[in-house]
Amino acid sequence: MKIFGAGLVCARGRGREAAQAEWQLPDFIEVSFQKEPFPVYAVSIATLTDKVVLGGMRRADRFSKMAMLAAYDAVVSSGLNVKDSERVGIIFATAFGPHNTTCKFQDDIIDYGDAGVSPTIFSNSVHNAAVSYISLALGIKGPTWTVTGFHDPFGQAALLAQAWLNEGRCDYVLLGGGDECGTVMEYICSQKLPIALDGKIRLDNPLSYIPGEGAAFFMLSNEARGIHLDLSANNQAERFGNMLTGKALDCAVTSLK
Amino acid sequence: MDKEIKLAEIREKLKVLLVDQLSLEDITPEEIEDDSELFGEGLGLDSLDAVEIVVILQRNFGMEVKDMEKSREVFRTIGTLADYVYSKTEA
Amino acid sequence: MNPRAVFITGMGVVSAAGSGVGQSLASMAAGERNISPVSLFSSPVNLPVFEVRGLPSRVRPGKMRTLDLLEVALAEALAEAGLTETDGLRVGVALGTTVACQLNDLGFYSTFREKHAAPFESVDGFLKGNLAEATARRLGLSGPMMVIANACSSGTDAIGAAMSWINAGLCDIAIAGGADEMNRIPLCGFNALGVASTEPCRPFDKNRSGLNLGEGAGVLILETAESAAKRGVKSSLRVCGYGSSADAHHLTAPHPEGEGLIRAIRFALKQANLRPADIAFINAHGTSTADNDKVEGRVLLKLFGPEVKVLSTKGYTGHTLGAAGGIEAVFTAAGLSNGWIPGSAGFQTVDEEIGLFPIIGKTIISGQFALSTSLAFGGNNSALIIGREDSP
Repeated sequence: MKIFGAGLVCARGRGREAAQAEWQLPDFIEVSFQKEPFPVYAVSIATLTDKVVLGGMRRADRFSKMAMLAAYDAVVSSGLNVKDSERVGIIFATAFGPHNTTCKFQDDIIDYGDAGVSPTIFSNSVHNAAVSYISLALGIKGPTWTVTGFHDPFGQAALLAQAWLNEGRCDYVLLGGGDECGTVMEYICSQKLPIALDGKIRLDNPLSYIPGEGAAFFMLSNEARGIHLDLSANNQAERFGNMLTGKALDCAVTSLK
Repeated sequence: MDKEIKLAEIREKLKVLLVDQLSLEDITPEEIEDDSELFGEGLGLDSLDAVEIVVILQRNFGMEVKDMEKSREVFRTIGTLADYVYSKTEA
Repeated sequence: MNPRAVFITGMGVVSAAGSGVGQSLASMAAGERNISPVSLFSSPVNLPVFEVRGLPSRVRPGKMRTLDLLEVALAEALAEAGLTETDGLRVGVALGTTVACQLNDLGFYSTFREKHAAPFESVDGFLKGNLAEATARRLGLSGPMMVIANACSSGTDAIGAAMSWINAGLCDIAIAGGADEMNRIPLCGFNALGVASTEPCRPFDKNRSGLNLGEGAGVLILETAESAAKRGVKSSLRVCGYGSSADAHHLTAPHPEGEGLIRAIRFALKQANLRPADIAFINAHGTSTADNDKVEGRVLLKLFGPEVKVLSTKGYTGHTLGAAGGIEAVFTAAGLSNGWIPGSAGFQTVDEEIGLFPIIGKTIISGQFALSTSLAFGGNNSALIIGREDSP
């Protein structure tokens, strides 16, 4: 399975520039659940401001926007015309999905009552909203999937992508992975994981976790050109934070460098 | 006279709410005409916006909209929507 | 594409129609519709729903109800397949859901919002409750595992994923289907979308007024012929074709001409090497919403003609979201196996805008292939063809 287009959105920005950026400290943000500032590798608002790509997505949340930008860049860099193609499939892997929007919907229930909630927020709160936007914006008409798990969902998605290509279900698969940070997730991390309060993830020390966020996409095929999707790519979490998505961002950094 | 002033107020309020709550792009409340179509041509709203407008009316004017089919004419323009809000809240 | 034959060596189901294939078929044959107000939680959204009654009470605090439902269906499926021991077998797990992949616990969230801290039972239940990972852990499986979150087509897609795995040689056996619980969050969401009805649903009826939510689980055990033979298990049922295609049209509305659904059905027919005339009956998505039934009904008429037998079992189960594809695959397989299907509950008056007459009352079917369709919010459409092996 070969990559001939890749896109990356992470705390360091977007695309090749982000892949090549030097190591930096994470952001230390104020959180409600503890006094000390909490480190996160968060995607900046500037990275998610792109009128051209995100123009038709007035309702989308930042989770969908991160995924959209990475998917768009993967398609554009592949040089492939995917518009109206039923031979292109999408598989997007995520551990937590758009959980900030799920929380926002629960805010709605608490604040406005069960019968007073926003249907738009509900529509964006489900895991598959992101690929729906991607399919819509890029005109991709093959199978459009979201898969989820806490143990390497991206690796599982890659297995399925390979199976689809081999059996001829698709000629191309737009494979991606992504997750977002948010207060609830940061709270869960703070209670469950040893957070590196000095802001330094040490790959040789699992007791130094810093949540990260971002998305990466790859245009894949069984054609000869391109480079192999290498799921044994080095862990690069110190650049963009730890995520349960799997190796999506690591593979993107490797292939875009 | 009072009614006209009140209706104008409702129309302005609705325009601001729609732009804000429906995250409309490239249009300001001032640019929305009272009689331009909300759906299809015109503002280009869709079925999801329609159900969101129901929530907007509920939260901001305390109104219940039960039957969407019968509300089709009511939801046609800012003008018809304002008339409906007026009839339910002021009349 | 020349796929390996994939047999169904076991199946299990639980929904408001009953626990187990036998009980479910009997209640549907009798026309029972177990619909009632929500009892699992209190909500001012007072809509009738299809709940599963008599589920054993929770053993572990925080464990998701979805997982309980899955375990009921899975136990039946594993027993039928004779899979008491999985040592040395290459078994994958693909399951669809909508509720169980999100931390949809209002108790946890509201406490956290107010106090900036909250008890962790439901978080632990969520982190340990990924349906595929939990199943693989419990049964000691090491094959591919995946939860598919494609909204209402998730269960059908999980079966499609398992077929692709087996076809690719990634496993010899797969647990595939879907599960979802009755939960306050989707109830509020579907109510806000204006697609939930205050009456029992009427799929394809002129006077339909929306869907009823349901809950449950449906699971198939898929297996290669070689593996089944080696284990000494026989089955005449198999999955023959699967297609999935996006509308690329709208976040919540189906394509008006059902383009994605047409592509999905055609792909499934092609993979199964069948013509539309080979399909004995169709277990339609048939949610009873204005949009879904219009688009789907027209597509089915267009592709299969007016003689085709169509039913929606959602009149007995409600819309079970991520479980729907799994439950309906079980009912489709059971229909082929037994030679009859239940009437499409709730249908009385034909909708001229659609022109489709679903079957009324228990109906004998002949033929060896059947289709199950799923249309999802977000625009994914899926089609699964099941066959009976005495076919040529």
